[in-house]
Amino acid sequence: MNSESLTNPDAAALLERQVQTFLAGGKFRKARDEAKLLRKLDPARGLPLLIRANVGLARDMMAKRQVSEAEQVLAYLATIASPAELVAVQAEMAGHTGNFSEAAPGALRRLAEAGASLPESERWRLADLAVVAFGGLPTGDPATERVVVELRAIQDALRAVTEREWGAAQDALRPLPQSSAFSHWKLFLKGLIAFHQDDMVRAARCFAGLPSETLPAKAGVAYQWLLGTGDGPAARALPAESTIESASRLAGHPGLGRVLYRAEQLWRERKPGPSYGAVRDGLAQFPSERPDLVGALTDFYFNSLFNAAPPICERLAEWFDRWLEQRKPGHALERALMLRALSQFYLGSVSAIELKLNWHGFIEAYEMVHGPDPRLASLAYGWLGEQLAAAPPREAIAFFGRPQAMFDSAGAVAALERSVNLDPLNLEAALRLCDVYEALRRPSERNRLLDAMVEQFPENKAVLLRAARRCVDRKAFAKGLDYLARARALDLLDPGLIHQTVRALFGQAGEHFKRQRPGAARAALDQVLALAVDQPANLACGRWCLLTRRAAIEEALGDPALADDLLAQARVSCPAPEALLLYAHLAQLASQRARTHQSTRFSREFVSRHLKSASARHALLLLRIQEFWAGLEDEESPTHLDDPLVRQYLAAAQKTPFTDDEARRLAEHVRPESASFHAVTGFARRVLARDPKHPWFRLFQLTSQDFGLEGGAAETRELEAIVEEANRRGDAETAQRAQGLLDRPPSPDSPFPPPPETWMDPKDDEAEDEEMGRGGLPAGFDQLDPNAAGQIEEIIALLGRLSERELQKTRKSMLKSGMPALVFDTLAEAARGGGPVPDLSPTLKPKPPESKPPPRDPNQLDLF
Amino acid sequence: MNPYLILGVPPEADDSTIRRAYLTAVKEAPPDTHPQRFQAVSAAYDQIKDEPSRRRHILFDRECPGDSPLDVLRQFARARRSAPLPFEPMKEYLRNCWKS
Repeated sequence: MNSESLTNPDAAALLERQVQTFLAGGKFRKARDEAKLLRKLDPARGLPLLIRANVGLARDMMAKRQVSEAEQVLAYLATIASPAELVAVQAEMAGHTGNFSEAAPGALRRLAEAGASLPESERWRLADLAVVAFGGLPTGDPATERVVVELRAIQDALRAVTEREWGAAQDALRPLPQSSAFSHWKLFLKGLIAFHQDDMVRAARCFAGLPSETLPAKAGVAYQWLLGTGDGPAARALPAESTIESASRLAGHPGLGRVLYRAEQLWRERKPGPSYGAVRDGLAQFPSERPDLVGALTDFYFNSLFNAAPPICERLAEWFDRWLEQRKPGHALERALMLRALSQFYLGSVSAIELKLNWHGFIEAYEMVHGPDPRLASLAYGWLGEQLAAAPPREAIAFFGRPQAMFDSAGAVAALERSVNLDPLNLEAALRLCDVYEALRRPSERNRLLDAMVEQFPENKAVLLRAARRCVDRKAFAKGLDYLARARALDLLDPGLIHQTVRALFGQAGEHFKRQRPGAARAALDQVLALAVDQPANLACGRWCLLTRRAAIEEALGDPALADDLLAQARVSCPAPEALLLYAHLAQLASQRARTHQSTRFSREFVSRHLKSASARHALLLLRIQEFWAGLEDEESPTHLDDPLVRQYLAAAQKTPFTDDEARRLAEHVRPESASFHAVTGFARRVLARDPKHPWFRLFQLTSQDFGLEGGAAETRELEAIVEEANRRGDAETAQRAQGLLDRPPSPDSPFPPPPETWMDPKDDEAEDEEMGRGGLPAGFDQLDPNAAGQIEEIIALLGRLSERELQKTRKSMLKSGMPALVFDTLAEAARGGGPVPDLSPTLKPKPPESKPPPRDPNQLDLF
Repeated sequence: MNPYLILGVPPEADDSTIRRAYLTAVKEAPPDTHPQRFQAVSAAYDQIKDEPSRRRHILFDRECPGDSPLDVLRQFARARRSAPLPFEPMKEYLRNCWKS
């Protein structure tokens, strides 16, 4: 606006419009300049606008943290505006300069004098200032008395909340009217109470209802974020750094906002290592084991290896690895935590030596921080021993090689022995060591350990039972029975102890018979009968079973005439004569320690008298008897010889009338790996022949296919039809099971995982054809271990000896254990005589080892 | 979340201190009114109730207190929800909000 235009009579109106436009656009400096001109032309119109422009300018400066400049503007304002007009902006200024107490009395007065007539935003600002001043409240001034009472209520409630006096807080707030200038504080405090009392819905409602320009609304943002309600993009968005800082303050850790903001940003960018670095560099106390926020962040980063999605946890592990290699960990605790996490993360994918180095490094570093703790070290070495004693991770072709029983047997023994030495009371480690000795066929060490354990844990049932079992194994029956008696004194009702006692007594009797001491043998057998129970279904201790076992031992080693008497007694309580004969036959084979197929008079009688009258009703009992003997300890169990007996019976029973329920009970009972499984499926086929829509048997047939469920369209249709038919017949259980199969996610163990990543990708087919066309081997062969190549002929010969059914079963289990189908099928084809033995050696490519860092300083650590 | 944090005891606390803290926490969060909190408190107590458990926790704890650093902050604050800021830090917090 130039001087010429000022002479224009409309200039004032024009200026006024311009000032208004600038004010509306937030251009306070320009508005102020124009308002100054207007004031010269027309003071009555210019002054209010000049005051507004300066107030806006001061606020703008405060928002930009230009506090001293804002103070100058306020000083100027004080020369042109009345004090009442400036209370609100001065209050804001007080917030920035920290002079709350100076500004508060003015704010209270203004609220008292003109509260109702003030614009809402100004009322809120004045009320907020009065609250955060937290000063002593003026008394005896009638003008401000009402406002002071309300303010006191807010302050009392706030104090009560911080002291967890929820009731007192609510009582303090109750008298505050809705029209109060502090009503937004009332709402905020109600939200706080709800938040701390776990009422998330109410808390969220209160915080969301706060007027946005107010201080409680600003304070409530962090609470709202902590509530974390909602799942939309807004809830997932990265909050402002100031919100994170506020939330950190609420969590009792002010000053973490910037670090956490950066760490979160990097984490969201899938850079877990740098995110860890940001926290590590930003927080001096990190990592920490204290139960505070830093401790929680420590747990988060180190345990993310086990919880984060694969790419994240792998990157983080690689990052830790690199740090360890570069020897960056600043202190022992960080090193200990990294080694602990990496040892467990890489379990199964690193060599035994690396596992030992990492774990030993962890124990060493941990003890540097906390001092030696033999019990902790014992537990740690016990775990290491357990891992080393476990079966090694299966490579694709490992099935065909000679499988290793343990990952590192020598390491396992060393670690477990160390564990037991560090803490002789570490029962778990001692039991594990006992198992390892057992597996390594080191009986003398095992027995010594068991004797020591019995001394160390004289009242531990598990130890006594195990010691007893091994005594019985080595025919030290008296000692074994002594241990068992001690164990039974601790727990009379434990069926495991009773079964073991029965086993020991029968063993002892057999031994006595062999040494021509029938009296002693029968004394032992009498003790067995004292343990009998009148439960025909109890195959271990039922009276007829024990009588039959005793008869079998008499038949084999003692007096056959007495055996007949005993069998006659057994028949009284036995549910089926064929069951008794099968039981006696298996018991006799056991007592003779039979290792080849033998018939007994019981098996002959079984075949001659009962095959013709076989029935599905008794077939289930026979299956159970067979399983019972199969479940006994190896030396006793002769069932591998006797599958034909039960299979023949099942085959005969199929030809007789049977009910659906009988067939169903058999099918439910038999395990797919049982040799009788095929015979039992015959029952299912017959049921389906007479009732082709029977849903339960259709489902059984579908799920018992050689290859299991493949997830094809035909299978889906069949499952849908089963669901429909089951619902129609009111068979909710079958409908639910079939529906469950329809809804199931693809199993990670399934040999038929979903396309396209790993299986049946059309591109794979093309690549395979191309590979075969070149006269080479299928693509799957590149996963073979080259060490296995020399064994190919042996493998093919082995496969060649299998029946087609056995071949299919082997295929199924091999695919489950990770072998590529192409590899197996090619070998199987060669085994069937379909082709010459392939020369694998030139084409086998060993799978490149995963990029794991080499062991750290293996020469510097003397392990085991 | 760290069991020591949930029960509000230091890592060097002994069995009886932990038991007392557990009973207090259960009293404050009975299963009928605070089922989730009760579950968390019980699980925390199981993890550190005696020395063998505490050692096992040191060696084998795999629990992640959140999905991301900020989630850890959120979970941490939630775990401490029953403990509001004391008066002076609350005053400081509100004044900081005023300035921001």
